[in-house]
Amino acid sequence: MPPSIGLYFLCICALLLAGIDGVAAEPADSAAYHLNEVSVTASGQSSVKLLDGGDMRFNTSALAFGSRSMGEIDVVNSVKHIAGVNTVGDYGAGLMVDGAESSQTVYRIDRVPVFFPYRFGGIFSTFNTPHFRAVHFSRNIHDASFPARLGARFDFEAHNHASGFEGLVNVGLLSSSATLKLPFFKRFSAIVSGRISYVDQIYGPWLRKKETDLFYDFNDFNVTLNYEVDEDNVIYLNWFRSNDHLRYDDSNYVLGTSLRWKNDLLSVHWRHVGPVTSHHRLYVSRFSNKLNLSMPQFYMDVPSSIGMYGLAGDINVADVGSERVSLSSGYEVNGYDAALQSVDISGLGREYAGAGHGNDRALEIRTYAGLDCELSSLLNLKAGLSCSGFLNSDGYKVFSIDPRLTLSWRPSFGLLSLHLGKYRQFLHQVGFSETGMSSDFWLTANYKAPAQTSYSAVVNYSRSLAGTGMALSVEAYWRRVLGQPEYNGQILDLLDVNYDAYKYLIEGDGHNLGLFLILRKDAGLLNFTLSGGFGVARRRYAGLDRWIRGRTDPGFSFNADVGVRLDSHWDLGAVFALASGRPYTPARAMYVIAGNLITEYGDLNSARFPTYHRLDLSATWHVDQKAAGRIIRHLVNFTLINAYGHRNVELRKQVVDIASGTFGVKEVASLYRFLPSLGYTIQF
Amino acid sequence: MVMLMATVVCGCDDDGTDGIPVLPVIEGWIDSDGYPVVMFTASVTSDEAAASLIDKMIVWGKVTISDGSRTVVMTGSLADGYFPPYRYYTFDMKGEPGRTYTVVADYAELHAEASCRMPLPTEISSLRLAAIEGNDSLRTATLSFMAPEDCPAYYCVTVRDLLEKTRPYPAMMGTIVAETPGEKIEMPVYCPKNMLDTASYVSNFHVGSRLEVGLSRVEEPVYRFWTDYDNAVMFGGSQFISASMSLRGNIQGGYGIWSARGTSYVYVDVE
Repeated sequence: MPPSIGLYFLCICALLLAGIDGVAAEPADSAAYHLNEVSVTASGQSSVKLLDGGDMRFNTSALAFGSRSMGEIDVVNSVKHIAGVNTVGDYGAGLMVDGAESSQTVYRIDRVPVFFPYRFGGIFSTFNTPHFRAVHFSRNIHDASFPARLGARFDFEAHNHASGFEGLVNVGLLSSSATLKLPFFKRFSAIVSGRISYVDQIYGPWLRKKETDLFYDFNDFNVTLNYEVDEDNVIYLNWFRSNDHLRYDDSNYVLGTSLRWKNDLLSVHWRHVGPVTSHHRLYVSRFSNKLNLSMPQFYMDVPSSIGMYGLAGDINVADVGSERVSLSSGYEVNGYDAALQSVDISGLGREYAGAGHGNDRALEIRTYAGLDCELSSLLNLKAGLSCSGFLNSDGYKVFSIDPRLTLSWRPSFGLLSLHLGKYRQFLHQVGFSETGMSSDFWLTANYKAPAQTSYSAVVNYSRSLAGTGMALSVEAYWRRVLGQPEYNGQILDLLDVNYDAYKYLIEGDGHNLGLFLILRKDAGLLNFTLSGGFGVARRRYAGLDRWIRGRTDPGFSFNADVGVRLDSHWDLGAVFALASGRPYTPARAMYVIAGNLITEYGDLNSARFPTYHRLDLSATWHVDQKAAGRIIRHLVNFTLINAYGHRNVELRKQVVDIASGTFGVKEVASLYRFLPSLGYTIQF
Repeated sequence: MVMLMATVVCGCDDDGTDGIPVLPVIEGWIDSDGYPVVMFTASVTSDEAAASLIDKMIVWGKVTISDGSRTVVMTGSLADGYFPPYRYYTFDMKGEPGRTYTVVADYAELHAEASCRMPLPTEISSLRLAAIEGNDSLRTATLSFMAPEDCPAYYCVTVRDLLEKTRPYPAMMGTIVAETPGEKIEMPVYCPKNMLDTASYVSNFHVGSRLEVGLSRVEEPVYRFWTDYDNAVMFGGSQFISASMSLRGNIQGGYGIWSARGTSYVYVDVE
């Protein structure tokens, strides 16, 4: 058992007690329970709302007051502070929600997917949060409009309106960003955001070790152009680009490794509000990555990409002659162009370009229809069908009818929902990194890697605790997953002139099962989100006759995110995370070959690292200043990451101590210890 | 609180590898027109904290080699230039291309065996050394040869420092497949790397050294093992671009590799 149990037990007790004290002291907020969604997001400085059914909605303008990572306001990082949402350690890129693979969760900007919304090191997400007015996060209960994915959903909603010139400039230790809202004439407005990092300039010396050198930088840009045609119609355009460059040099091998990845998105939208509301969009979204390995006399470039070109729309009818019934429907036509790892090599006796599988092209057509019906004053039924047709250029085709049903019962003591649904996913992401790096490539479903399917059953209980300002959500989920591929190749397999990524794919089945609880208080001077959960993810791959632990297995987790407004100038925050260590593949044995230590590995993901725990503390000072007829707000945020410096294990390596001639195991801890972070934000 | 306590209990380090048996480890080879060498050791399991390298060296084992018509018992002895410093050898059997060689190793409860066919060697066309701009003390090396008619042909390159009297080590990134008959293949030869090196690794060769560079044609499983080995040595433990994968050896009952190699050599003074 870990030695510091007492410490984190005390921390949790302190946080729980703080929360309970706050409950008694705060005024009632029962009205929040009855408001509709739009009204809820507009309220005060609350950064997060826990909605009926367990969904969460983030008010991005209020996030500035909370805990930050390296000075940045980042909603995706806020989601990491919820039980059941995992990353592969501190450096992990992809978010795994309730045992789902990161590629099974969809990230969308105004309902257009972004394929790799991650950055290196787990500090930031790709999205520049202040550019968006709100973010909606839903985990396991989805209606028929949910796109062809098996996991959770992050919807980033851009501002569709700028009533006056507004801006936000954020200066952090690793990056700086700016967002400007610019109204033009009466009906035009533009929201423009940019972010640029200087990781290498500030933290470069810390990242350079005796034998290794790490370089990382990124930038991203968002533009939203709105044209309000009239009161009921808005036409707008979203453009998004992110660029990341990671380079890692290891003098032990004279080997340079470089990853460059890029997200591009361009979309045009038409929103109509009325008795029939609709949202139509035409879009292109593309993700590309280039892995480069180089040594003297040798280099290898491994580019991969996926492009999506589509037209989609959602049409909702609120008035169908009965106040108890509303209808929703939609369509989606997507073309995909996925370039699997193709290999350009020079040296090692090989000179060739473009070896590999080549591009996969596919077409997906989907329609859906849903019914939202108040069966009685206590019972509500949401039923829908999603119908998909998918055709790959290799002739593989799927036609799928996916029913989804949510039955909700609203007695006096809350809302109890039962959800049953079938989901399909026609895109896979696989690769050889354990942390979900950008080198993990996308491919479309085909004969060798058929579509993924899941059957899902979820029970959710939600309620607002009248008089406390708190909301509670408890959810149990079960998801059977079929056709989930795994890649079992190694990087030097790419040197094979006949390299074909499909040779290294194995297909797996599995199930995710779990339970979590979220208690959110979002009114008054004390806000908090307390969450706890337990989940398992089990997988079984072709050729393996038993269940093994999936790498996404959530295990146990407890998270507390507490914020206190001390006075009109000071906000304090604490984020505590306690979770099962991440699964890893342990060494079964070691031996020496050709003077080097070789590891023989045991069953995939059959072990866990020691329990993960971390406390981040933050303080935000803010002051409002009146100038030129407007209020200018200054915020200075200080965050201390891993405030008590716990060494969370990121890696275990087998080693030989040559001096003593003995074998051993070395644990490599996360660099995120006592890590200070400072950010200055000006809002006007 | 129940959840919390469960977290604490389940958070204990769970290794999942208890009760793994110790297995024999073989690294051995026989070259065309050369004599067999076998290094016979035992694996270290995760239960054996701080196990000693010397304890894992098997000095009282019985190792035999057979070419299908004869079986010879190999002799064990301490050997400089080997790590661990012990090997089994015999001068009573010489490698002949086309033959299949079987090695059997026994010690106490440990038993391992492996068979491997020796392909014909491929002649080395040249080993070209070149100066590096701005560096007078190092030279790059490029090996060239013609692909044989019976492709695909699998190769491993070894390097031996004759002045340091090392054993032949696999060159870093020293595996290649020839796919097209008659194709001229040029590949850089990188310095071998092993954990005994105390100085920072340099991929090129020091002026003043004397090298034996071997081009060994091998069967596909042997090639696959050494490619896996390169993966493990270069990327093992990297979370960013590597997965935890074991080496695919050809030893029944144990770990490691037994190679029968059709080898041609070139000797060069690095000047």
